[in-house]
Amino acid sequence: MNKLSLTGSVNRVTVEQSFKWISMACLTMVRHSRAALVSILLYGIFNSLLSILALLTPFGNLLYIFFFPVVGSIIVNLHAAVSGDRLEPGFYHGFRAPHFVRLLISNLWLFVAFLLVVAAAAMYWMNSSLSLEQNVEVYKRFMELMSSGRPVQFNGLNDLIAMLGVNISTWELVDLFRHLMAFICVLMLVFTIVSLYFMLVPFFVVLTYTEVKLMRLNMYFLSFRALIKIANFLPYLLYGSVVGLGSLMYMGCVGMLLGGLPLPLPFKVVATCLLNAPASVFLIHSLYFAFIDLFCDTAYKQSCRNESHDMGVMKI
Amino acid sequence: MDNKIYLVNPRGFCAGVSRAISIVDTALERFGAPVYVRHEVVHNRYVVDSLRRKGAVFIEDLAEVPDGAILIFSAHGVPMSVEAEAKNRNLTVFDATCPLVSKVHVEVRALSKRGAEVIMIGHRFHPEVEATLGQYDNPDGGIYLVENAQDADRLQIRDPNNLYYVTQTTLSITESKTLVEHLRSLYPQIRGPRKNDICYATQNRQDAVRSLAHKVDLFIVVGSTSSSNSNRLRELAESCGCRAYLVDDESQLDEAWFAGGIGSIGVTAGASAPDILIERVVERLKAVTGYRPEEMPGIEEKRNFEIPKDLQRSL
Ligand code: SF4
Repeated sequence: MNKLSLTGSVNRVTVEQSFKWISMACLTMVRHSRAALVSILLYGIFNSLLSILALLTPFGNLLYIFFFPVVGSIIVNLHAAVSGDRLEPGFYHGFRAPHFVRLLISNLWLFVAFLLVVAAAAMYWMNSSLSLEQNVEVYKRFMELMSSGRPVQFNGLNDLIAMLGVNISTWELVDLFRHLMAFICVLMLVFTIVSLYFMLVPFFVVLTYTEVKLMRLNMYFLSFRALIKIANFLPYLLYGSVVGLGSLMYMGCVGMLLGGLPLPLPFKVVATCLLNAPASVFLIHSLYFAFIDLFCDTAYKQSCRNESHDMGVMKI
Repeated sequence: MDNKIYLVNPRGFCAGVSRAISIVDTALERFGAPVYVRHEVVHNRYVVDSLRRKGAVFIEDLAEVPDGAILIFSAHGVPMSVEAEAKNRNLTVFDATCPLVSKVHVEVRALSKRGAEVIMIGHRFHPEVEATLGQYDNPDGGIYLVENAQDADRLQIRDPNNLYYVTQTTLSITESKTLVEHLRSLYPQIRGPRKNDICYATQNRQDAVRSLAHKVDLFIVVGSTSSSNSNRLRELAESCGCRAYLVDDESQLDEAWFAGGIGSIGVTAGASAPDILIERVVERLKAVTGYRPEEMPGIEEKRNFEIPKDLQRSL
């Protein structure tokens, strides 16, 4: 019966309805781009402000460290919590495990891949001209130094080495930082790949919902839904916390490194903003994803409000 | 045999002292006199006098510093209480504490936070020791100064399983080693710094004296009596069987020391003694003994600590 109505439904679609769908689709697209644009702009401005704060105030870097992951995770997780179930109707139909467990299972591959790459990057990180023990020792002492409660002032790498009480040359310390930076870059690369993957999903969602109504191509719908199923909540969580944290680590490093250079302040501000741009993209994206997905969901519901069922939208 | 004046390497200024002096010099240049310095910035009379002439005022108590003045902490560091007082009074402070001393401060602060008991090996009344003792502020633990084995025997430790030791940076390496061994025999669980607290400059200067001691009859150590590491160099030379004298400058050289056909002479200098004094002492030795000076090979010290950024920027 359903099949019949699907194949025969074209006859029932009036010109007026077609226009309605098209305008709805256009409206949805406009809304998405507006939301995306606004979030990009907001985050861009916000990030630039933070960059400047990080350079001008002693606690600026703290903002980086605390604000982004906290806000990022809250937004992303809230969104996931609110909209997640609706994105995935019936996928685990009859499967009564707690939601978190279901997510964990469906996204296990992502975990494994992520862990493998991070492990490889960590191995590289520890493979500087210092031995593994020395590496660990330096980081351990650095943590001790920072947590001792004594205000420490470094006026150069030699100061730092002396205060760490390690027997390494400045070159070895620089090499250690180089490897740390490389590690962070690898992490960022991983995040980029993961992010790109998820960034595509909302577009698919948009296309799916609009195209389904316009063209009734259920095959597409099916394949897109499958994609949505895979890319579910856990990536949101991962995205919010890991990408947020990674971006912050990067931004923090940029802030600290640039802050330490004897360069004119305006140059430092501009350089920080530029260097932070890639990291901002990740942060922007977390909001962007959340926004676009939410809008998409709303738009879908709006478009379906009156006619979805009798228009033959297939329920999976 | 051809007697000589052997010039020990390395000798004289260390990175921490150079930096401390530069900080006072730069502050005077930037802000003009007077610049207040808590305690003698380094333990050398010549250096202190010349800075005093330029407008540095050396004080022991922060009450002597007028409001709004520039204050510099000496290379030996200051206790936390002094830091807090300076902060409360809104003084402009430049910290000339040697980073190697700061390293020990950091260790003590971390131990204080944990409430561990700490034994500080060092010399009573030395400003560095007072500064380090002043980093501890946890009433649940305690920090105890130990100068010798007798002090160690008198200690009453509450929890030997949570006991650590730190040392002054300018101690005699052999003596501190003996004392640490003694402490270990009393408290086998005692833990020390992962890297010796005795600084590279002290270590290098002492090693250099030890390796030359067999070649010379007499050692002249250039440095002030208040300088801990200069005193240790003199004691070390004596313990190696040489006669040794600590002199501030050439005027303190006594011709009687060289009477009666003395063999070769070794010249070294504490970490706070400037080159100019060493040169003058060598010139005078040349004149008195007629011996030729000869530089000894030694470790090249490349370490260099930069002055605070705030001061650098102003130049
Ligand atoms: S003697 Fe050692 S601890 Fe003292 S100032 Fe020189 S380098 Fe620093």
